[in-house]
Amino acid sequence: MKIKLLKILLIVSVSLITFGQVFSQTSIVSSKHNLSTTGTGTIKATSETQVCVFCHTPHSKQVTSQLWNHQPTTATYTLYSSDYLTSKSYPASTQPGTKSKLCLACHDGTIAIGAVYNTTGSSSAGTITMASGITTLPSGQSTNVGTSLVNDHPVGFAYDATKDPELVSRTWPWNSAIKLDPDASNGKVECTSCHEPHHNTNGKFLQISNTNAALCTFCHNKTNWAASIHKTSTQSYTPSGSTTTTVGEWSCRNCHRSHNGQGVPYLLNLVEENTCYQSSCHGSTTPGINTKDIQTQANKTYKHPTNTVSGKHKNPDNSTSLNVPNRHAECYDCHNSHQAKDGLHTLKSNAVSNVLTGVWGVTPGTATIWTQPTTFTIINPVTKENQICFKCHSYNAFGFALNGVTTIVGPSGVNITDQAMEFNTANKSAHPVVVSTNNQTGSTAPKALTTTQMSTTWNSVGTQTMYCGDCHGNDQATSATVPQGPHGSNAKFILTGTAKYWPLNASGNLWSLNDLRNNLNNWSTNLFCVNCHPIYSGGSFKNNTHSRNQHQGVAVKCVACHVTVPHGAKRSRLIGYRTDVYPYNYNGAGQFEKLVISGFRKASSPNNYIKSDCTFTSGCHGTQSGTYEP
Amino acid sequence: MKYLLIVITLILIVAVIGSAQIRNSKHDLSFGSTTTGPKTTTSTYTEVCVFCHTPHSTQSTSLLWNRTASTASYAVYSSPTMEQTVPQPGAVSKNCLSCHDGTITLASVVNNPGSSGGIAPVFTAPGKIDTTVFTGIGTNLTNDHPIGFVYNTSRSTDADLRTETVAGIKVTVNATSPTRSLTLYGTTAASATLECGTCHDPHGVTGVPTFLRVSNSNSELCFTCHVK
Repeated sequence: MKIKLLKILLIVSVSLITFGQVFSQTSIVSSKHNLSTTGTGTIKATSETQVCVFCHTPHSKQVTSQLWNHQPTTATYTLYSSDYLTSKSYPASTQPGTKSKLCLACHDGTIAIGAVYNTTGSSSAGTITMASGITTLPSGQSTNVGTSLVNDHPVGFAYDATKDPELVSRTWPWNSAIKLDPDASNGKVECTSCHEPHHNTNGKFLQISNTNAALCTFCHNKTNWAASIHKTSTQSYTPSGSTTTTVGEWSCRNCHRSHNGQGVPYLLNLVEENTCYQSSCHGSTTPGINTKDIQTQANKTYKHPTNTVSGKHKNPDNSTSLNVPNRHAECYDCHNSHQAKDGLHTLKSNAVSNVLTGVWGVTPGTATIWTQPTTFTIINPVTKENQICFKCHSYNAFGFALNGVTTIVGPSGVNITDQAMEFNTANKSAHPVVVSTNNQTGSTAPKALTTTQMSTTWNSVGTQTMYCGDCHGNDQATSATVPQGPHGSNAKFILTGTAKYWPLNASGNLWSLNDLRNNLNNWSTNLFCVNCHPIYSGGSFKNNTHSRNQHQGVAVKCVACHVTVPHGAKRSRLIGYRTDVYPYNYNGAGQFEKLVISGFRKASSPNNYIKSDCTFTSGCHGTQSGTYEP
Repeated sequence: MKYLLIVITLILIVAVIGSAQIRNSKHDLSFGSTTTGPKTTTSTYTEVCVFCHTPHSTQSTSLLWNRTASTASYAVYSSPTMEQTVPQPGAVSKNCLSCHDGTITLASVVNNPGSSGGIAPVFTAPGKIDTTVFTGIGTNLTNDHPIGFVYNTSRSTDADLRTETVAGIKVTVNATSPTRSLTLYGTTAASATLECGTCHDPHGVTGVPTFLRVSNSNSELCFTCHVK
């Protein structure tokens, strides 16, 4: 009986010594911040059993708060900054505050993990020896943020929702675990705003759970984010190092990392477009399910330079960053990933589509016929697709260009032209990108083509408008995974549609009416114009000028009468004059491989043209009389 | 076997509960002390308790206190996460600070051995605790664990503090683990303050360094209150 009692006492005594306290899974004792011998992480002491001592001591000789015991870092940090914050006059980050520097005393990797002032019982400074020869936090550890904080969420900065309207407006202190330091309106965001080093209840020592990015969105309120496809998508997604979730739940973390991302600034997972191309998203290596593979498009021969130019994008872009030598086209120039929604544009409309939601652009000011608009109004967010295109394809980006033609040669080998000039509503003709044909103020009656001159799709003649993307886009048929849009194309000028050849046919020769009349060069499936304009069908031309035998000679090319860049023209019906410059004038070697007309006037109907509607200095009809468009 | 069990059990119980061992500790300032710390050089001054206690005190403090009180005003601890303002140290802590704030000589005993106030002990100059070392707390308590504050008030805004227990006139933290519970100074939860003596037993506990009441191996002393 006595022995039994003693045995019980023995067991109780041993238990008291060995298992003094049972700690929950969320206690610091069971976290990686337990650096003592009982720690659960790989970094721990060889013999020190105290948990708190790595950071705290009850009696310090240092002039720091929180009874701090770890030796301080003296590093000077390279701070986070971004064009966006600068553009908002957001108060710049300062060196990390006191609290953050406490964390950085280990996490910048410059000070030994065991370097404390007051070691156990010895009342003297010393370094606690760590197992495996570890001194400072190993550089390969993701938790080692280093002394360059450019790819870490900024700390040491004021919270100012008046400067950045995409921050949640709060009066601090707020009744939350998330606090500023000091926790008042003049406080700053520090490491401890997001992290609670003692508790790992939420993983990564976060103050609150980041499920659905609740921690991020406590402060960040991106415009229209809640409706964005990147937030609403229920598509299954398995992030690296995490369990399977949905794109919508993973939210901000799909693209951003609070620490150690490769894309600087903006805390992007990877550099620029590679963030969008990452596994299971918009890349070609491991495309996502029901997501568009953009990377393949942007690698095609004729493309926007998304993949080939880097480091040029500014947020927001300005006249310098859009001009040579900084011309670029990052995903973000045309898409706002915080606002983009699923859905393409409505045909016969130039209203901006869901995928382009929230992008900024410009609209040109007024200019006289066939001159470069030189004033632009920023439209944010854009209401029309062309406002995005004009950001780069106009005076807004490249400034003055003689006759609207820049010295910049695009991937198709042709000089880039001023499209704001080409689509100027004061011009006599233009594709209805900016306004409908009826609203083309420079045009004279009859403004619109007839319905017989248009395909059944484009039958709202005079009132319909269109996208730049109706002509420029993917050469492949689009699908759930193949995108539309002018990312890239294997057809010159990033042309899209069934027929993709202009101004040359597949054999490299200029198109002529002869091709249509004699069914040559696969004109019905290759001539770009016939995607929308049934020039020749049912054995007849839809325009009496085209019907003329003399115009159907093998040597008479389309570009003898029409401008090669068919966006718009100084004259009606995209007619060009012999004095026009390249590339509007094809300027080929043959007599009719260049513009030949000297004067043109529009007839009252497509089948009402007479010889004298065109005049020439020599050849063709010769010099005619009457009034011609200048 | 029977006796072996008895011996082991007794050793372990002693190890857990501890026992006072002031003799020859750093708190033994008598001439005969083997302490490595300061002690009197007066060879006739051999009493141990007298440096702090006297059976008949003229001091207004409790614990039969026998030292000249410090008149220092202390800079107190504060922290962004501690919502209450820490007051000046309580009386029991000021007893400790009558040596450890470094303002009073170790020799400042009120009632020395012998009749008529006796003869004061002599210490090697400066005869005070060196405030550049950890034991020399000094008058700046901003970098020392706060004392003098009502524990219950802090706990009301800090979920990481363990609940205190009131039993009669004793207020303890972690009463469920008697060998590791710590005592607050006061008779009700609303008044009981944390003082030096909450963590420290100036008379010493066998096997426990720095006069802690319980061993801090595995930080268990810290975790008695702080549930991190």
